Amino acid sequence: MNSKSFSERLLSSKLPVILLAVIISMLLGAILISISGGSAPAAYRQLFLTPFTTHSATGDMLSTITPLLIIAIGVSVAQHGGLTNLGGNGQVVMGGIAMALVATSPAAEALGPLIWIPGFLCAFLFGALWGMIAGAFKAYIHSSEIIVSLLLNYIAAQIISYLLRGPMMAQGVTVPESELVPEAAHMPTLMANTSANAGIFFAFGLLVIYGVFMYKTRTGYKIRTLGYSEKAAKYGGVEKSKYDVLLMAVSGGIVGLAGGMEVLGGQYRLVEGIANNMGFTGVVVALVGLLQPVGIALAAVFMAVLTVGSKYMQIMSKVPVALKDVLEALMVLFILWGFSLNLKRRRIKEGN
Amino acid sequence: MGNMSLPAFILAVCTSMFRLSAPLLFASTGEIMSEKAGVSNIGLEGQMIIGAFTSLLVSYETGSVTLGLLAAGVFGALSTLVITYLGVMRKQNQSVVGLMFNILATGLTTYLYRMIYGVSGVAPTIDTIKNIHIPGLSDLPVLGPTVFSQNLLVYLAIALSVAAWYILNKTKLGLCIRAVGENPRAAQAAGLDVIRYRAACMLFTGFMAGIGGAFLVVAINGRFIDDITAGRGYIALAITILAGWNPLTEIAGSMLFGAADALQLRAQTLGFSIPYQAFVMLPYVVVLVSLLLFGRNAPAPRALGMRYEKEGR
Repeated sequence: MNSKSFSERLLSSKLPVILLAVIISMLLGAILISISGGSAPAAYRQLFLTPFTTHSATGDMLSTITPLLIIAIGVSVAQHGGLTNLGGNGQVVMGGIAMALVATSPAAEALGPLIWIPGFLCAFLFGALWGMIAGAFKAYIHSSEIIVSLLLNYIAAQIISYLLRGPMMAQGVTVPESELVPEAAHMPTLMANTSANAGIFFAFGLLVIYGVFMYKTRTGYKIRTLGYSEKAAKYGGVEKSKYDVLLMAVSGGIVGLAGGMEVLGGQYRLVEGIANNMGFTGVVVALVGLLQPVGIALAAVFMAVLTVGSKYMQIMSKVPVALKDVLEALMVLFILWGFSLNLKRRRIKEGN
Repeated sequence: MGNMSLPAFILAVCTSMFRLSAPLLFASTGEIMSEKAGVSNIGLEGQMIIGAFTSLLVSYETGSVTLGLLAAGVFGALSTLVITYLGVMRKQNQSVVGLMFNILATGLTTYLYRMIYGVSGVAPTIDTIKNIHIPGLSDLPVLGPTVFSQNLLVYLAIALSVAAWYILNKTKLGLCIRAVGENPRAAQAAGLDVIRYRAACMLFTGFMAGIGGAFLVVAINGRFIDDITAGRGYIALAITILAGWNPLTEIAGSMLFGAADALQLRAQTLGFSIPYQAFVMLPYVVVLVSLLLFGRNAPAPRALGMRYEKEGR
């Protein structure tokens, strides 16, 4: 059987479930807004339309797609192998620290965009190290990578807090932030006076590489086998513990790239809130996108709209931005519910 | 605070240790119960947040901390129905369901808090519960101020751990719970309703986690703040593993993290030359290091987190 057509069929049969889950979540969100005294139609108009109608919001949305996409790719790599990477926030922080160290160094001024190469290399390595810790715990201590990767977020948050108030703090500032990246090394801006930058092309390029690697290569196939069934993978000669460490490292490394990109675009410096909880949103993007390249792309755009739109909604309608987290979680829960119902139908058919 | 003597410092850390270990103790006692029954409840953090929020809301609005605590337990328990339904009955990945539950709980409580009490203005606060004075015992040197002058909930947390150990190991109910978590097929064959046992244990877990979260409000902060649990749900999950699913060992585990937490709070004010962030991360580092040292091949219940098919093939 051709694996591509199989995955396509999988996606097409699941699409209605996803769309329904989105609609139900939105309806529940509307009820929540209404009972707390807001106007749901107005709030949703701001949530979904502002990112397309306001210049700066459109820029924000485009620049939010980039990290969400990269993080989701990283998360998906691990998820394919049956590992859940909840350490996205920490890995973004580590990648950001690495990039800031490289891109604010004197060499950056001289090298210009060439500094991106060592910068991203270091961002990947730092993120990979952070992810690898969770993988090693899983492989050798048999501790849940979920708990370990999550606890590492709290440690990374303290590391960046220290660095930005100590050795990496810019001169003459009172807030915790690093020196600026020299202009020569900035990611080129896409829209004037917005944060939209060329990083988005990088993110989509990475998505293509991810798709090809995961669905067209032997290694990708091995990883997916591992995710489906540990036993089958074992018979196929895949060494589980080795893959646990490696997959979490690669996953963390990719997520670290998102941190690096945040330093090169947007604020052009390392700031304490660099992760902005995108580590979790990235997991949602990966899950809603069913780990498939096209699905991830669509989910990333959708979540970027939600992320940026909810900020405008809060300003204009006073509906708290936390609504976004509620919607995001509801969507995944309803998708799981829908799939479980599908599963039952299939079983009944098989039974007949 | 900078000129506190060493004995006074140690005494202060010990006193806080008992208090700060209580929320972890409540939550991990609950978690041991559901994991013994075979459910991996990653949603512990979310249940704690729901408990924290509910306790503030109810205590503040009714003026009764007791009501607040009860409501926290009840809502914590009810909230587990989401995980029980999707993760146990509908057999979806329990980790993913638990994670999404946590995001939902965090989002929903933050949303409701902002909606009810506004973004700015004065945060609603309640009086934290008082420490009790046990005649005689509280006047003992060293032990008096540390062990015997805590609030009632601290003793309740320890008592419930002991009770959980007794139920799990010495009663028929405990035997049934363990059977459901070790070998659900056999348990079913013996006439046990696996799903019902798991759902009931989850309700208990949610109740305990709710109280644990409430403790942060009614006994420590006096108010609800963003990220009030600060990963304590995940720390409690780690304690469950470290304790080898034994509620008695778990008391020691919770004390260890309570001590790390107390130490970081106190040490920040001592003016060491070490950056304060090193202390803040201490509890998390201690968890990871202890997992490294003691967590290897912990004897997990055999059916933990596995999907259970009723009429299996």
